[in-house]
Amino acid sequence: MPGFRRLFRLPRDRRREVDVELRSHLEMKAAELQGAGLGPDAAEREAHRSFGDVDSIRRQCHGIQAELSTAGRRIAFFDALAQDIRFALRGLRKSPGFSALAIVTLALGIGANAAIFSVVNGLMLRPLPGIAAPHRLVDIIQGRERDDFVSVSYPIFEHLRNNSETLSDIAAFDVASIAIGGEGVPDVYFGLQVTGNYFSVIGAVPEAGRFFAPEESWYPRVEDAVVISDDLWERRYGRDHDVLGKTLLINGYPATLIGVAPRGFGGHVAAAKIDVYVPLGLPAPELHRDNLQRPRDSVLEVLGRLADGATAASATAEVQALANGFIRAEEGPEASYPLRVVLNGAIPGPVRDGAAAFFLILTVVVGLLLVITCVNVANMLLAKATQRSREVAVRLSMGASRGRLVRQLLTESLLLASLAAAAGGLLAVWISRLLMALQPPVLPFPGMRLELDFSPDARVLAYVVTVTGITTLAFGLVPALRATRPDLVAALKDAGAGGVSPGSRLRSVLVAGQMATTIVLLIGAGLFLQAIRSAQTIDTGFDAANVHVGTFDLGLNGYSQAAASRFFDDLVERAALLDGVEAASVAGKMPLAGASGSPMYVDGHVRPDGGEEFSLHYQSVSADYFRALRIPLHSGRTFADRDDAGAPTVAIVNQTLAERFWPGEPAAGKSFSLGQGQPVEVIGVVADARYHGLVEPTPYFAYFSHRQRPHNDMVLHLRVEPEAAMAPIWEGVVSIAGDLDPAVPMLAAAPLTEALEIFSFPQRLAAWITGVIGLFGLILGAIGTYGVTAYSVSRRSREIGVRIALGACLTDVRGMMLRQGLRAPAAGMLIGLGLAAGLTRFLGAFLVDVSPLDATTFATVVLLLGAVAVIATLAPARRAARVDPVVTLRSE
Amino acid sequence: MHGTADAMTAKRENIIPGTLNVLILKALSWGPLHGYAISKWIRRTTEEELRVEEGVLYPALHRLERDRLLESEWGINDTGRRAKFYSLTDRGRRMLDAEVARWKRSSEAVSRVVNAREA
Repeated sequence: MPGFRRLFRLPRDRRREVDVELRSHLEMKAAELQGAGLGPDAAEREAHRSFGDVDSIRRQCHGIQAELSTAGRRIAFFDALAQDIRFALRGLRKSPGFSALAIVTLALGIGANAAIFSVVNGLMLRPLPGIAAPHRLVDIIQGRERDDFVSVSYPIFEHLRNNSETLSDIAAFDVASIAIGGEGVPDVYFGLQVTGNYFSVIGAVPEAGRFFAPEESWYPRVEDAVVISDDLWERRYGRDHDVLGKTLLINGYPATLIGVAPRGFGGHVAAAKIDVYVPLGLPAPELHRDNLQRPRDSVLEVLGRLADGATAASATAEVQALANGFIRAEEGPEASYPLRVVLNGAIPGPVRDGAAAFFLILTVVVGLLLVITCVNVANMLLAKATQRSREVAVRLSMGASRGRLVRQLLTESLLLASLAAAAGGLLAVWISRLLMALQPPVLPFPGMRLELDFSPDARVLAYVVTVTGITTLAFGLVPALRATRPDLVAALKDAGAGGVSPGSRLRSVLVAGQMATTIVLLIGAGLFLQAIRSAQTIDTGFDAANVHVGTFDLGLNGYSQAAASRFFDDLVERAALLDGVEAASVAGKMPLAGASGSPMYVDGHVRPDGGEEFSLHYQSVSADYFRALRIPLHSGRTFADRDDAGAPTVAIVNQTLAERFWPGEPAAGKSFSLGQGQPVEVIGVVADARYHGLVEPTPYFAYFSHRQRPHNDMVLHLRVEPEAAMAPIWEGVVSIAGDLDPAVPMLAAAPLTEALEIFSFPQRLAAWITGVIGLFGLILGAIGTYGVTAYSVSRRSREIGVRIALGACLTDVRGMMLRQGLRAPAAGMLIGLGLAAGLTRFLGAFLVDVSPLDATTFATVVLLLGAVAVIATLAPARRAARVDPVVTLRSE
Repeated sequence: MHGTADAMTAKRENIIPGTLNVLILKALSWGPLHGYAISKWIRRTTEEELRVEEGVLYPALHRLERDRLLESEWGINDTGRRAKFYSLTDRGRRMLDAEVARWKRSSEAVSRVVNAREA
C-alpha cells in the first residue's frame, strides 16, 4: 500500500517511478492520437517523435531524482511535517469557533490533570531538599495495621539503636514549638528536639557552622546548642556568619547557635517547615527523666536509615523481635511491643495512606474529566469530518494516500492538543498558585510554617506532554481513521439518507460513554459535597462556641512533670477568676487534635480473637474540662482535689467504653489497667465526643487528671461569656503566667472554632477541588451529551422531513425521536450508575455520615443529565420538523 | 532557485528562457494535473505559439519538485492509468505570484519601449 509506505517513509523506487511516468505520458498521447484516427503503430511513433529524446530525458530525470532521494528525503520529511502543520493551522483558522471550543475543552481537561499532578508531585513525588538517599530512610512506628501510634518510647528506641543490624542508624525526635528571644515577647518557631545523630541519619551537610556532635549531644549528656534552618538564618539574621557561636535564649535558657541546616531543608516532612533544632533533653536532662525512662511512654518519633541489603520487611522483623525481647524482660513473657518499619515519605506515615488514597481518587476523577473531554472533542471532530468529507474525498481521489491524510488529520489534532496543553499548563500553574496560597488560619503548632510547593518541574512537564500525546490519539485517531475510510466517503454522499449511517453506531457508543463517564464523575463530586455539608453540621460532642484556647509548653523550660502540673493548676485556678471567664481548664490537646494511646486490660474481657489487650486513647485534663467544653457528665463525678499525684489513679471514661465493658451497670467503681501498671478506677462516665478529627470511629476513651498523668505542654481552654472581649482576658492570662514564671511564653491563642478549622481543612480543600472539577464535568458532560445527541438526531432531519411530508404529526415524530434518541443515553446512564455504585465504595473513608449510595445525589444527577438528554433529543427534532419538507429533501 | 530556472531554460526554438517554469506553475494553479495534462494545457493556452518538446517538461517538473515548488502524488487518471499528479506547494504558489508580477512589470516596460513615440 503506497499510503503506508509513505506514512512510514520506506524508500521508494524513484527510478522506476520515472519510467512509469514517462511511459504513462507516451501511452496517453498515443491513445489520444488513436482517438483522432491514427493507427496504433503510427500513433506510437508520433507520440515518441513529439516527446523528443526519451533516453536523454529519462537520464536527466534519474539524475534529479537521485538528488531528491538522498539529501532531499530528510528535508522532505520535515517539509511534509511543516506542510502538515501549515495545513493544520489553516484548518483551525478556517473554523475558529470549532477550534476555540475544542481548545478550551481540552485545556480544561489537561489543565485539571496537570494541576492535580502538580500537587501530587509537590507532596509525594518530589524528593525533599537536603536529604541523602531519601528512599533508604524509614519510619519506625508502633502499632498493628490500622491502629498506629507514631511514637515509640525512649528505652525501646535506645535498645533498637544499640542492637539493630538492619538499620545502619536511627534517630529520635519530637516536634515542639520553640521560643527564641531575649527581652520582651519571644518569637515562637516550629522546631524539633532531636537526638544528636539526627542530621547524620538524614545525611545533611550544614550550610554554615556544624551540627550536633553525637557523642557530646546524646541524652543525658546534651550540649546547650541550637541549629536553625537556612530560612530562619536569612529571615532573622540576614545570613550573618557572626551570629554563629552567639548565645540565644531558647525558651528562656541559654544555648549556643552552632550551625545552619542546608538551604531548602525544612525537616524530613513536606509542607511543615522546621526552623529550630535543639538536642533532645535540652537544657536540663535530669528533668526529662520521667518521660524518657518508662518503656511504655511513647513520646518520640523514630527515623532510621536502612543498612545495605536490608528492606523495610526485614527491618520490621528484626526490630519487632528486639522490641518484644526488651519488653518481655521488663514485663513478663506475655508482653509485646508491636513495631513496624515503613519507608519514609514526605507525607508523614500516619496520614500517608489516606493522602495517597485521596490523591488516587482525585487522579481518577480528573482522568474521567479528561475522558469526557476527549469524547467531546472526538465527537466534534467526527461531525467536522462529515462537513469535510468532500475535501477528503477530493484529496483521496487525487491520489493522496490514506496514511498521509490520517497523518495530516492527526497533526491537526496534535496541534489542537498542544495549544490546549499550553493553555491547560497555564491553568494548572494558576490553580497550583491558588492552592499554595491556601493556609489554614490556625495551625496545630504555634510557630508552624506551612510551605506548599506545587510549582511545576520537569516531571510535571513530562506528565503534561504524555497526557497530551495520549489525549491526541484518544480524540483524534478514531475520527481521522473514520474520516478517511473510503467506504465512508461513499456513504457520506448520501449521508443522512437513512437512520443507519456507518457512523451512527460509533456515535451511539460515544453518547453512551459520555453519559456513563459524566454520571460517575458527577456522583463522585456530589457525594463529596454532601459529605462536606454534613461535616459542617456534624455533632462533635462538645460545644466550641465561646471557647478560646491558649498554648503553653513548659518542656523546654526544664519543668519536671510535677512542677508543670502545679504551674497549670495555678494558671487554671487564677484564670477562672478573670472577668468574663465562665470556666477554665487545661487539656493535653485541643479537641479533635488526637490523644495518647496505650494498651488497656479489663478483667474478664477478651477480644473476639482471644486477645486481652484493648486500645485505649486518653488525655489528661483538669476538673472543669467537661464544663468548659459542655461535654455532659452522664454519671459519677469529675476530678476533685483529692485525686492528686499521691492518690490512686482515677479516670473518667466515655460512654462507648462504659457500655462495651459494663453494659447496664454503673461504671463508677469499676477498674481497668494500662500495661503492667496499677489499676485505674473509673469515677465517672461522659458522653462520647470526636477525638481524632471528624471522621474516625469513636475509640475507647479515658480522661485522666493532669495531676496524676502530668504533661509539660498543655492547652488552656477558657469558656467565656458570649460577647466577652478577649483582649483583656488574654492580657490577664499572660500576666498570670508571667507571675508564675516570667520565662514561660504563651505560644498561641485563638478562638477554638478557628483553631479547629485545620481539621475540616482537608475536607474543605477536597470540596473546593471536587466542586470545581464537578462543575467542569457538568459543563463538559452537558455540552457533550447535548452535542452528540443533537448531532445524531439532526442527521435524521431528512427522514423527519419525509415523515412530516407523508402526514406524520409532530407529536408522533417527537415520540419516535425520543424513543430512539434516548436509547444510547439511557444505556450510558445505566452503565454509569452501575459503575458509580461499584466505585463509590472506595470513597467510604472520606464520606462522613453519607452513604456511598446516597439516594439524593444519585437521583439529582440522573434527573439533571436525563433532562439534558431529553432536551438534546427534542430540540433538533423540533427544528427539523419545522422546516419545510421540500427544503429538507432538496438540501440533500 | 533562479539558477535552476535558468539552467532548465528550454533548449529549443521559440520558447522564451525561464518561461516553461512559469507556464507549469500557472498550469497547476487551478489544481493538480499530471504531466501529459500539463503539456496539453500549455499547448492549448499558448495556441501552439510557444512550442515545447513534450519530454522537456519532465526534467523541469522534477526540478521544481526537488526545489519544493511542487509536490506530487500518484493517482489514477480519467482513463484508468496510473499517473503522477503534481500540485503547487505554498512556496510554488508564492513563486508563481512573484513571477507573474515580474512578467507584468517587464512586459509593460518592453511594450513602453516598443511603443515609444519620441526620441
